[in-house]
Amino acid sequence: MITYLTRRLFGVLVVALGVLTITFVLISLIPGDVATFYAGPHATGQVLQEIRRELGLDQPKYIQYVRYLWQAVHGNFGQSATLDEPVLTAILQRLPQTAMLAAAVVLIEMTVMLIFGILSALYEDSLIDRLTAVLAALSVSLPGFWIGIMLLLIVAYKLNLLPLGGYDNPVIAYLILPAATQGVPGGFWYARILKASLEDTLHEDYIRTARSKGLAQRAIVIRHGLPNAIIPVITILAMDLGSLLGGVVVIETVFSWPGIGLLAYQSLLNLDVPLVIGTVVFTAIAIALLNIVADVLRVVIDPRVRLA
Amino acid sequence: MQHSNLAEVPGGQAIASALTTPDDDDRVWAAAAQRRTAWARFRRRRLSMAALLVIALFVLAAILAPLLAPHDPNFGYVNGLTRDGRPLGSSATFPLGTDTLGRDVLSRLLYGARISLTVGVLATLLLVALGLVLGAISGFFGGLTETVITRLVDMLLAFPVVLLGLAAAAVFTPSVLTTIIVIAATQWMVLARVVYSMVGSLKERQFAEAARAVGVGSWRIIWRHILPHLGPVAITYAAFGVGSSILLEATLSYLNAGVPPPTASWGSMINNGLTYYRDDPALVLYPGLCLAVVVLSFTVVGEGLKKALQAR
Repeated sequence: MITYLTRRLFGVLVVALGVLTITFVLISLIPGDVATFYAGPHATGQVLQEIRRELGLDQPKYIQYVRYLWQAVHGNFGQSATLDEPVLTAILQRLPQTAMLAAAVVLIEMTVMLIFGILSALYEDSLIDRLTAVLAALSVSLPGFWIGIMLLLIVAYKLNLLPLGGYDNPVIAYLILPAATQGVPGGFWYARILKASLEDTLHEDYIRTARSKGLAQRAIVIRHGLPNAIIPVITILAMDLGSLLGGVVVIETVFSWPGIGLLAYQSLLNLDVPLVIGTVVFTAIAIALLNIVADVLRVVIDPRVRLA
Repeated sequence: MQHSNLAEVPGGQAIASALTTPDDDDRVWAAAAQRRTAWARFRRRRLSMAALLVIALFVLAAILAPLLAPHDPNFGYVNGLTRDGRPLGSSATFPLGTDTLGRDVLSRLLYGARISLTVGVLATLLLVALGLVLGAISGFFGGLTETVITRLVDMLLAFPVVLLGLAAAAVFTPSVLTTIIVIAATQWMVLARVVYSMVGSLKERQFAEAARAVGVGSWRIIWRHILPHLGPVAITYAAFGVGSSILLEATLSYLNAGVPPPTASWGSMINNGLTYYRDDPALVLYPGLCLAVVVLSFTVVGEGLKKALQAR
């Protein structure tokens, strides 16, 4: 376990180094002078020189690179160009909201997945099975932001059932729509995967044993099939962490949900490069860490899996 | 099919047949036959054919946009807004109404189809090429190449693409070209991973061994003997890839990180209509429906291709 975790944490370091290198290259590719951006168009040459020295822009590229890494190791991702606070502080402030939204999305996804995945495996080719298939195809074909706007229009504006986006008390009222926008379509997508996995499992010998004992199909699927069938689905869920957070980023902008995604979007509009880059680095490292957690959880769920 | 026969004969014969190379002629013939049967299978699927027809209609509309569009898509008409500056509903002059800047929505939808399809197809070509090449060399060569590429794949797969798109847009001036590059650079990994595992087992098969035995170079084995086996996977993935690339382009453009204004893109049209969606939902509804129909069609075609090419 200890050796496993050390090895995986080393992997996170590699990811962090990779992302920092990519972002450094990106920043270096910015056309124009960063110092002019900070100083404004009317700054004198001397002021510009001073800013350049302060940011280390007068140094050779490789020294800038080492400095960039060194700063990042100390949790310093620079100063936001518009918010007048360090990048990391700004991100950490929005982290709880993003985590809450992501958790709600996963909760809805799992619920929808279990209900419709099991039902479509139990009643093959029934109306519900076909409906799940159609909705799963739709879920990967419809833009998430568009679903969000349509829900805002119908549920919040026309029917006046929920608030029109934002973040306030009671949080749950503001949380439902954005979470459902991403969670319900995602749930149907995973329901199809669960159904396929259930079908595979139902061909196993121990299922035949259960059937020969005279157990009802429902008991076979739920009690005997599901625990094994759900494991590959959980692996896929863990692999999809990136697209989950990517979706949350977009949904946040639609519903003005004050999380990291909305922050990244607003900083793009304000051309606040350090802040945009900061959100990228932060999420990449967060996802690498979450993947370790997901792997450990898999061992807890499935005793056959060994950490290697 | 040719190769599975070859794999069954004893090793000596396999090398002998590789030496006399009946392989090439037979293979070309077998591949053509396989394509024909796959197409026949695909054609029998009514849903897939309907989706293909829908795609053809959109392609036609995109090509003929200059002829079909009633107005200049980027011109804001003074009579395209109400007196207090609101967009118009549908009328004889503006069949689907106008947007917040008084531009004709129908014309913008038609020109938007051009952007969506161009970006979707070009990004897919690029990402399929990337996935094939990187997947094949990591699966074939192993060693450091394998480690570096598989690590890169793992890292990029677990990454929120949208954020990377935002970062790229903050750094480069957004354009159609940067959008295509961002999409391709962030979508090649799934195919690369599939190709990687396929090549890993293909290179151990007897036909590859036979080719190696008679002294065929690595690159030539990849190009002539392994790549043809990856065709069905690449084609299937490309169909899905066009759909997801169109979706990603729309998402990036919606976030001001894709195709820049005033160029009409379905994603940026939704963004533009956002300020008025309560009074005039059509501004958001139409481009969204276009997106949904096109992307769904590519998904259905992809499913059809998968079934048609897999069944042997």
